[in-house]
Amino acid sequence: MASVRLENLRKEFGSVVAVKELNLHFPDKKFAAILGPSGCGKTTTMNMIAGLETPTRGSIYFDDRRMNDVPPGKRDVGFVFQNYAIFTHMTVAENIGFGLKIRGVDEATIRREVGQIAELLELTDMLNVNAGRLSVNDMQKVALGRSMIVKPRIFLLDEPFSNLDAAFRAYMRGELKRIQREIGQTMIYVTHDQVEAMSMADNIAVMDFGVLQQFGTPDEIYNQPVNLFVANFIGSPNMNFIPCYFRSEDGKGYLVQKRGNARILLDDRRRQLLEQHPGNQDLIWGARPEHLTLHSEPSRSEYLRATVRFLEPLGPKTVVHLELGDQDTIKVIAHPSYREKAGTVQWIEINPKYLHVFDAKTGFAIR
Amino acid sequence: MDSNVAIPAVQEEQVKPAARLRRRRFLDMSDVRFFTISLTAPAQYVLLFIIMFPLLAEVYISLTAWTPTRGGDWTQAYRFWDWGRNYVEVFRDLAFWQALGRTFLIAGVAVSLEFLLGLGIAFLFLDEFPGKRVFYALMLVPMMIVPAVAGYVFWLFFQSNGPLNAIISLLIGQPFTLTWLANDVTAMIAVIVAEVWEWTPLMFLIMLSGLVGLPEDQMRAATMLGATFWQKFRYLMLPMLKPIIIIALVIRGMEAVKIFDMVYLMTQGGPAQATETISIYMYKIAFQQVRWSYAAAAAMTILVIMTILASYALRPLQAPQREVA
Amino acid sequence: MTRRPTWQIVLRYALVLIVVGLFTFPTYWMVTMAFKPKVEWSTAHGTIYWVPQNPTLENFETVLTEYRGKFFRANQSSALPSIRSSIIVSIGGTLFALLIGTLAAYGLSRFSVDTGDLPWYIALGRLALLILVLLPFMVLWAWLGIIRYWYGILSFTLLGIGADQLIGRLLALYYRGPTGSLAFSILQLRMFPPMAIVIPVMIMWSAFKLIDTWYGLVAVYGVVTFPFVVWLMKSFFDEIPRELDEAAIVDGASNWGAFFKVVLPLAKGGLASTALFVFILNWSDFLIALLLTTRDWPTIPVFLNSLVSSEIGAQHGPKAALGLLAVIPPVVFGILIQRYLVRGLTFGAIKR
Repeated sequence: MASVRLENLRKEFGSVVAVKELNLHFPDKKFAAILGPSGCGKTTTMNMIAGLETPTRGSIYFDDRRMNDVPPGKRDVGFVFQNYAIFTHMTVAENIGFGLKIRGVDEATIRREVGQIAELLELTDMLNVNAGRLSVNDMQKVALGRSMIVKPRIFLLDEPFSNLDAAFRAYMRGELKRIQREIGQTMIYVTHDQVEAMSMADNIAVMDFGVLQQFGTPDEIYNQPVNLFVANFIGSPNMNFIPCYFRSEDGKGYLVQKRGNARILLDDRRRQLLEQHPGNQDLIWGARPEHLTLHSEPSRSEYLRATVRFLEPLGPKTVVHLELGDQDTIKVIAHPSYREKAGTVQWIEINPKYLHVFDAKTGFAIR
Repeated sequence: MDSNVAIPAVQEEQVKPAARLRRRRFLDMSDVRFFTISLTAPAQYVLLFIIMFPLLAEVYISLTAWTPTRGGDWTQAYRFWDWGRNYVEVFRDLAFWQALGRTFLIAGVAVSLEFLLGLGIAFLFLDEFPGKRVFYALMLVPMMIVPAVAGYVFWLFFQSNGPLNAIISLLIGQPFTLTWLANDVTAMIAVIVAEVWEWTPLMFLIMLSGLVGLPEDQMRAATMLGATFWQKFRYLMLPMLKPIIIIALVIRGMEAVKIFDMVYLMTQGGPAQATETISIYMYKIAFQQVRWSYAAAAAMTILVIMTILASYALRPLQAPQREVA
Repeated sequence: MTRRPTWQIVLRYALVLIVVGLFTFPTYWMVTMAFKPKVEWSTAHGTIYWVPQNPTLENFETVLTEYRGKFFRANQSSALPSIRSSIIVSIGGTLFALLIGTLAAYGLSRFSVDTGDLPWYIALGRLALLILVLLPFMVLWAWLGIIRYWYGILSFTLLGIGADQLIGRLLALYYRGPTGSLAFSILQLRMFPPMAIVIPVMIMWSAFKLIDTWYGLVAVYGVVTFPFVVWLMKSFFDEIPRELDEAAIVDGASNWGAFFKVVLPLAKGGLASTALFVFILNWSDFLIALLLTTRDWPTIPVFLNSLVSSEIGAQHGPKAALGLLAVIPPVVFGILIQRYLVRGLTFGAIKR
């Protein structure tokens, strides 16, 4: 197994910059995810690690060895493609054993190894089936098995679950994580699905427009997003963002809503921080819907007044859309049985621990 | 008036409901059936119409010893009836079998060369490179040249004072005056070269389309597993291209056994019989030796042989069709 | 993809240049020869001119104008009639093949349940039966002396078609299994050298006075190329979902309406590529035209072959000029339907 380090990695396609000066370190034996919307450069990054694309600038290291000039087949990297790239003219067994066959391993060993992999992936019954006739779910497993059998140092997966049906996807998330833990495999996983990244990865790299936005554990990404993009991209329903400005009164700091007059009292640490912040008249505060609570009475003065617009009952929870001030919409997750009518006035409680403040110009979080 | 018209209709309805129902169903069926028949009938009958008489006339003539030079026209051929003597003669005729063998030799060598060259050149054209479109267009030009013209150009080419010998003379630095078309082996080579030149572009086109259509991710997957180019070629490209390769070989093979123009224009089957293909052989029998009944018997023999061969050659073309069905 | 080493790029370029050079040289030779004056194309002096020293259009002039010899009255007719003949006959044959072939292809694509192939012994057995039944009639017709007239041939053909249908029915009674699809029996004909059937066709054509007429040649071209039309068009029709025809019929169109208004417009790319393929086949034909035309309707290849005048010997220059002219129609046609070119030329084998 090996760690992967990217140094000032850059990739241009003609005049388009796909990846911009990327610095990342994926630790050994860990499960890392690269998360971002489509076109953010995550697949390009993956292809550069695999060697399928040549970086325009920068270096790729596996442990301490620079890999830029090592051809893809010699990098000892397993790669699972989004569409699985199964060899449809071969049987399942031939597919899984392909990597060994081209290395000149003898038939008996191949059969044994294929048998082990098939057992691990529950493919034993299908070994002699023509791979072109498999269901998408089984193709996915075969693609995994084919890469696993050569015991690569690094395992790369490019959105491997995006074509699967929902139930099987959830099952495979669990399986993949189990396999990764069992063999202590370094895995790098590209996805646009935050649930996959959050549920499986030890570390997540969030990318947008070829630029790394944040790299950290799922908790860090969720609780301490460094900028508006990460804050917005992670979480479902996404974070509420309310444009505001900073006001200091009587030694107390407030965030005042721009389109309305909702005021949030700040704690001392935040107040000092924002007082010194040059752009403090142009801010955005953010709070996740799941960190807000609705009350029917203004029992505390810092509650924000809002009017219910409509409800989204989702079963295990209800998403309440409210109007805060003049135009700002705010979403709150309420109890599943919450059924207030539109137009009802509600009071929103914000837990200051989960309040995020961003500079509206730069988008960076102020902490 | 009204009642007059209505009553019989009602009566018919009441009296023969079963017959009416049957008739309706028959009509419904015949609607689709009639449509199907009217789609395929023109082809079928035009074909039968044009093939039926010549086929039987050919059999008829082949069973006689009639030729135009023996007097009378062909309708009087029954006067020279001699059962299957022509066929026995065809079976004994070494020249016939040699011509047949030669045809398959030329077709086999030419098609194999076309395939190998076509595949190789297709690999050269797989990636982008400056000027690719121009070179690609130039590669396709031979296909557009009428074979009769091509045969003629190659005839010029292989003359002893033609450009080919001139080039060889330049290369080896001394006069080279081989009369290509007057020598058994070189005449054969010349014919094959001309055939390969004319049809390699088609193979190239087919193979390039096949290669371009190969799924890129599967190639990448193999690359990631450490496969070399040859391993990818052997285990992935060839099996994936197999259907296309077979179709290309069958199509070309079917056309190649009919080879006539090139040979006729370049060597007339000569020197002696060195390049005599089956078409040339029959042309000579029918129009130079004017042995029509014998030519007809030879033609019928070829018909039988080709039908047998074609039923095997066409099988791979059908296989994918059946799988779909 | 990863960057290639420089030596590979250089090597590839070198190979491309060599290959394209080799394949282009004969064409180059023909093109230059067409523009060389007689001194340069004549092989008599033994000098080879790699490039025309004094480019001229005189070869085109020679080949396109009529020429009368001064001493021996050796005639050299113009190539213009043969060009006209080639165009009419090729286009006519193509249209004819497309007309009957497309209909049959649609029928086979939509309504044929019989996709099995015909084993050769069934095909030949059927043929043998047919011959056994019909041969006595052929002799009888000949003895009666009516076979040389058009009505004799016509009545015999009708009799033959009847017998063929009967034998087909009989065979279907006793032989369970594939009795063959029309497409494949038709395709099998394609392998048969035209040389082998051309004698009786000449006989039949002369009885119908079709020798050396454009329509006689069109009929033969149509029949010879129509198997390709069936095969190609069937592959195109097979790709058009049946649901479209059904939708059209549900919306009130007739079977014919569904075919002409829905399916055929969708297959027009296929039709174009098929047309090109068949056109090239007809345009290139030498053998059939050689045997079925004499004075009035020789096509370009036939004319080329006859282009030797006793007075001036071999006419290399003018021949090359005409050969160059003959390249134009297929190339123009090919450029027009570039998008469908590959599919058509590869017999529908390549679906993209």
